[in-house]
Amino acid sequence: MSQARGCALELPPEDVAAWAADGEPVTGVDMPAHVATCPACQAVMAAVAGSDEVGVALRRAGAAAPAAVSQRAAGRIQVERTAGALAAALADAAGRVARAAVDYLVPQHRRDE
Amino acid sequence: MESVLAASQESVVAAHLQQISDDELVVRARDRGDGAALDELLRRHRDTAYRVALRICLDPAEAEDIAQESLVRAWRSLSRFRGDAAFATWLYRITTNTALKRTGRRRDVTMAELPEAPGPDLDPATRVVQRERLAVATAALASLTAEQRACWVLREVEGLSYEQLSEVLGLTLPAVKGRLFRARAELTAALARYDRGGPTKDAVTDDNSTTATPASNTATEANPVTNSANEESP
Repeated sequence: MSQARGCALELPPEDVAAWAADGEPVTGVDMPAHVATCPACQAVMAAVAGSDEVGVALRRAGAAAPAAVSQRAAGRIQVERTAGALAAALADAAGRVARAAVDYLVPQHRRDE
Repeated sequence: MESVLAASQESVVAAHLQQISDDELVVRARDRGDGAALDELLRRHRDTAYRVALRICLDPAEAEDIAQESLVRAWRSLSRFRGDAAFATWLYRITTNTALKRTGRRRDVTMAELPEAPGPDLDPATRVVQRERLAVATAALASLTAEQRACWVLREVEGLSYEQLSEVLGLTLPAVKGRLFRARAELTAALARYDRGGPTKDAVTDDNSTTATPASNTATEANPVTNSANEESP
């Protein structure tokens, strides 16, 4: 894993960034005290500062799906359900025909013997 | 008269279904074949599926297809859904995987959609700047890999925790942190270039349609870090 250039604790920059952006803890390190005296970690923090404003703006903008999305999904599901039920019915019918054929043919075969 | 009664009954059922939890809807749709419960489940989560798909693939038409496909896949897999995670988290995983599979790891994403302008309480000049900054940021997002973008979207826009990101994306926590770091650094660098008045990596065209160039190492240009996070081997 990479490390922030010059960090005395050799902290990975992604850990420093996760702490700075989301408060993710770094095990065994008092981060506020460390970054206050570590130019390398301060640089990492600066490298990701401000990116959250984009997330805020996108959250605010939202994005509603057209109703057709779920309607089309429901339609496909209905088709698959119907197809599944039909396949099951056909398999059941085929099984019954096969059993009837066996019931008819086996006694006949015995008679022929 | 009968049709009026039936319509009234349907609306009562629909109103009732809106009150019950996702888990209960899943049970009804899966175990009892309750079509109304399934419709409510699809309706309730279609925005989430579409939003995540749109932010990952950056194409509204493609996002519609991905959202639809994800909802159908979720239904097909309902029998395997055991409720260990929330239904929404499970759907995030299906949608993200579907979007990543369709978008792949390519970086040449064509953007057809830009975020809406911020709220009306800003003066026009500030709104223009905000909109330009968002366009720059969106172009920077388009230059990321789909996986980096998915990670950033699920964290910053959808608000998933690191543990949820790890579960949804099937990545280790260090890998999640690495992808987020790269994405954030790329965005910060792009915004910094815009604020300095310098050329942005991806120019925004008049028709709001931008094609991102293959990603250069802009994040590391801006970052005084020895090596960027190795995302291929977490």
